[in-house]
Amino acid sequence: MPETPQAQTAPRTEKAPKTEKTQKPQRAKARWNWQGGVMLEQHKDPILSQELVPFIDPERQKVIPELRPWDDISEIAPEDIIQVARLARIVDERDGYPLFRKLRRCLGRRVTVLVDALDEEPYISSQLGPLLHMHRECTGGLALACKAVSAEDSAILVYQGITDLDVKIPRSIDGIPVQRVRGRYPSELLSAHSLVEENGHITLYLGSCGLIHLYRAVYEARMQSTAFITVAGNCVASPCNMEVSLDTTATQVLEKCGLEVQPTRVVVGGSVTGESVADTGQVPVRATTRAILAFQEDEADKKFQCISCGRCAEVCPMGLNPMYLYRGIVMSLHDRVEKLDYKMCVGCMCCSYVCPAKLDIAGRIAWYRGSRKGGRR
Amino acid sequence: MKLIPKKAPHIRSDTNNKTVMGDAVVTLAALYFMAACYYGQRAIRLGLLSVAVCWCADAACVWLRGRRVSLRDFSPVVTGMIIPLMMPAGIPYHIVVVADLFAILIVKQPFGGIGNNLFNPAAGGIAFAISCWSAQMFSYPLPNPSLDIWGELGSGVTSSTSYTLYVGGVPMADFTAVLLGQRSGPMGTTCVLVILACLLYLIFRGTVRPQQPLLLLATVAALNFLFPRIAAGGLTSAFYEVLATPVLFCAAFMFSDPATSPSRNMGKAIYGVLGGIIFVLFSRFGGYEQTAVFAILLMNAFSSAVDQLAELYITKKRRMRYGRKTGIDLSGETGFGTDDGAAAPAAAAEAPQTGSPG
Repeated sequence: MPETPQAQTAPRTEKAPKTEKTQKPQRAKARWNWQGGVMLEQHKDPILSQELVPFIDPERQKVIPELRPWDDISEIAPEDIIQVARLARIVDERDGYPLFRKLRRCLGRRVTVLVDALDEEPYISSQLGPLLHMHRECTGGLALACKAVSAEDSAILVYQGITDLDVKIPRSIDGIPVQRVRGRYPSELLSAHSLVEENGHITLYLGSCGLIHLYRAVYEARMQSTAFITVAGNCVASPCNMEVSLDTTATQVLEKCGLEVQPTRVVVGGSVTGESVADTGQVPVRATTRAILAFQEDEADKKFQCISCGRCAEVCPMGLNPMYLYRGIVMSLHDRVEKLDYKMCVGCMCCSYVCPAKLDIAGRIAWYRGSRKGGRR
Repeated sequence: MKLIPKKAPHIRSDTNNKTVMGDAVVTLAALYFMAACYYGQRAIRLGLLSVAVCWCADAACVWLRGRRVSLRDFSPVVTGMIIPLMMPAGIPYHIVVVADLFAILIVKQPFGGIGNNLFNPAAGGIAFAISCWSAQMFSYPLPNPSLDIWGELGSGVTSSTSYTLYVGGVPMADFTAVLLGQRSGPMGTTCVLVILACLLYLIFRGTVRPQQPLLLLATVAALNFLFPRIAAGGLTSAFYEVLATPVLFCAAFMFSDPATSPSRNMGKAIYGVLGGIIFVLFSRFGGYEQTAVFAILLMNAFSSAVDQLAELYITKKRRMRYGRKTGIDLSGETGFGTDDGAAAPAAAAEAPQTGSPG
């Protein structure tokens, strides 16, 4: 489960397209305001342009027992939608929380629902791909979620920094406005709070894949038995977005897509923040798995000495000074590290990404944070 | 498939220390090309000798500290290239060697080498040479491609525009001569157009942050415009002070050295303005015609203090900004449980739907 960051901050967004002249009390809008971050080359095409590849084991598909699917949204009561989400065991892929719990927390409140299809980490389009290619299910799921929480407004969030696409992202999908989130990486990570309350108004963030599963649960009585993932990297013969059964191993997924060369690094999760695995046969696909990436590096990691260039401080979205933190940790200056607010680090890895000395700055800060939590020094 | 797990991030930017230093080497090579055009092969030989001495001294120190000598560390190459460019083309070779050794052995390595030095090594080496051999350091040959490669140059030398400004005179060099470098002075600092192009290249590549050199130059220009030290008006004074002295070269290559600069952009901006003031004060009240390196060394001493001030301010701002936690904590909301209400929706239990395929 992803770690919740210490503070809510946020990417600036474009003005939502004006679809109607009537003034709504509060327009659905991601309210983030932050600085720093890095622009990353996205490498999303040609994967995003292609249809989703199914890799589903029929034996793992389950239906919700004793539940007869609905035909029309008008027939289902809000509390039933939440209950169906529970029975279908739907997990929101953006944060790993059960969908029904997120919906239930919003009951009786003024709510705006925002669909997260940001996918800002390079190579990954496992939210945006299903949104574009299965938009009927996604917007249908959104309508159900909105009905469940009596939402006042809704919108779809898409990252604006994707410039190398062959497909055109529309300004609205099935009547739902698409907001282009401006800013640099890590706007999605910084919005990791799934519920944000401001002046009594709740903004609820839901992943696009979770909504597809909600649609299937309500209208087809299907339990969540699959996840949408991106399979990519310079070793993969046929990179694609794939709907794959849960508990399928990374080895099976990579064999399905084919490997051109033997990878030296297989990553589960994001290309920046994901986890490098030791044995692909032991890594199953979970509901929160976003990607399986296989890379081969030409040469081993080469490390240099810090030249105090300050690039890490420049890109840190939380305004920290990773260079000072790194030096303080290496020199065991605990008081100094404490004063530098190491706890505010959200682990976005921007500092390690830009570091010209290729130092493991973010890893060292994360290690220190873990060691302090465990009481070790 | 068995693999060795590696640390995130799994993608990295293409920039590394080698490319950062490589950018500086490329731009300095352009200045050596111009120096060779004006002063012949002697300029190149001075540069090669200086690089060799700096690299050997640096490697020896690294080896003595028990570390592995890295061929990918270009920092001694940059130091070795800068030092002769701040000297006259006719400088005796032994002065260059001593300045190199001082820069590496005294200014850089005792503090821990690359990234840890308190003072800019090249500035330290040049300052040492000025202190010891001021006569040779300020005797500039006129641009002459057929300069003798060997031996000391005792004839055909003249003073620089810095000296003219230092004594309160108005330099004779016109606008074109200043821009193209057709005037006497340190061999790498006269060709203003090339230095400006180099500075733009370094800024464009992200090797140098713009606020530091640009604010330094702006401050020097503004102060000389307001308080000219020559009797030729503020604009002329600002023009000559910025473009006809080594200030531009120092701003681009020594003052912007990341190791001796603040890490924050805000600190860099303050550092740039303070640097400009110190540069002007040194040029007015200093004991030499060329005082930029002394101003750099003094500013280097303040770098850490400026950075700490900027850090304090940003820390306060950060805590105010992120103090409010607006997100609703969902950390307890895990698992699907069995006590969350009815086992199945009423609709499902009673099957009230009409037209459902069932």
